[in-house]
Amino acid sequence: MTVGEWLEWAKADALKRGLPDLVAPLEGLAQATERLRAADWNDSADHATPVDPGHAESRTLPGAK
Amino acid sequence: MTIADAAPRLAKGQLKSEKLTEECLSQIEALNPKLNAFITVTADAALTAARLADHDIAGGRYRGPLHGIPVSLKDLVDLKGIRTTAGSLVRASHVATDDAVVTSRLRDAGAVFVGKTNLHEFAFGTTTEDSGFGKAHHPVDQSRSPGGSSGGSAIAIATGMSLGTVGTDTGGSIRIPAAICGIVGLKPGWGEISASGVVPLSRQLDHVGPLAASVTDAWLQYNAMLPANRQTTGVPTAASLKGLRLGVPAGYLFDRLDADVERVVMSTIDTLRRAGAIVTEVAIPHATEMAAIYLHLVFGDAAEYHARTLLSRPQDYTPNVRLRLEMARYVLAEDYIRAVRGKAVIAHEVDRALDGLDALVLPALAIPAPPIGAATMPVKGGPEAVRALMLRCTQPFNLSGHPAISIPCGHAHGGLPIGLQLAGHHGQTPALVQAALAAERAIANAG
Repeated sequence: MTVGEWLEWAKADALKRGLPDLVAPLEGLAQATERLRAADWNDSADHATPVDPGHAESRTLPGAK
Repeated sequence: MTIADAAPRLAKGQLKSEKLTEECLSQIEALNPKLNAFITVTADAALTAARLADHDIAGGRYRGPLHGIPVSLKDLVDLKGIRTTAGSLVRASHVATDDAVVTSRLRDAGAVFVGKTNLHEFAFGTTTEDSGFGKAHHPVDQSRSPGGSSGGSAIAIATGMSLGTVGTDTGGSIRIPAAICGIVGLKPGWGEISASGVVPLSRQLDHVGPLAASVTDAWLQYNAMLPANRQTTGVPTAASLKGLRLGVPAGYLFDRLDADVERVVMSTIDTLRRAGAIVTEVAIPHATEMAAIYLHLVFGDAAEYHARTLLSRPQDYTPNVRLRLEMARYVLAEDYIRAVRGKAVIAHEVDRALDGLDALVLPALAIPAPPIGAATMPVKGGPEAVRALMLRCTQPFNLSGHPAISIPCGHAHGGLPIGLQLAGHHGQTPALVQAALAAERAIANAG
């Protein structure tokens, strides 16, 4: 589910449950979710083998100095 | 009066716990109607415990520096026989059947419990405005927030309603009110102090720790909260500032500061440098993602804990907290897992930032006490949401689990306190306290 699809579903569900005040905050949550999904630590099944941050002493994490 | 002042006098019989406890109860009686720091006051039990402490001390059974000291508990920490409300009408009739582990340890140390302090409902907020038992008020300016979620605990220390207090910190809830109220707040490393018997917000981010009038008082409480086999006697000596290696995590954590906070914190860092500290800039590359990580973790965890009562008694939550909990229920599992992985990335990056250093140094809070009801505050770069500003500088160390402490370092215009934050290595809270003792002394000398 894309963040856009999720947001539309969540807003419709909030309205159905009689919680119209949730609509604006859900848009804020959607922005945070977009940010989280865009982070460079996220894996993709057709890309490099994942790095485990807990055992990354000998490998470079994304963005690490 | 501080714990460090009172303890030796109590030990020698020069001061009676009963008198000290009466003074705290008088402060509560005088100030609580205005500040709303306490939800429950346990006056009779406190006076009984104080008299027993005096009797034991006179009989040669002195237990240590907390013996006979009046202490309060944030009202999400269980105290046997007393209700634990978590600041919510959802739990208004819940009475604890046993002490929390931390309560039990403080009781063993001889602490006298004077009551349970107000908090942001279920610790799910940073201002102590949304409590089922009414909002709390800043002791310097009652039109402003005392911070939160441990707002009542911070007020209690700042006004002498108790000499010690227990708080919890999921995104900054010990350090935020400590900074705002001009006292010390110590968040130990994650898991150092048991959270058993404490109402959770997010078990993977919750930390239990003390708020206090001084770094020494924070240490004395922290030490008593540890398992018996990890407690030590005495107080650590202050580290030498000469050669102390401090890292400034420049960038995100300094980008959106109130002008007074920036001026006072930078001046304090300069004071530490002039006293001999070696100050270098360090990076936390994914700092800009911390708010998103934190939000998804807290939402996922809180949604699970509150699912049943949101269905069965939603009307008993305060409107704002209910709304946020309802929103929390929409977080998808895949995004929660992304946040779990992001948390590990942040922990690794804080470790790397600390590599070769004694501590990180940064503001505890981007702003001074906000007006009650304020949605935004002006900071460098334009207005920003109060909640985001409150959590901005503290949440990194909840995600990473490193110990961190806020100490007073000056005032904004209008006399509102500002806090400096130090963060140390995993498993080295005593070394962090030693650095904080040194910084506290240097700040006092500079003032």
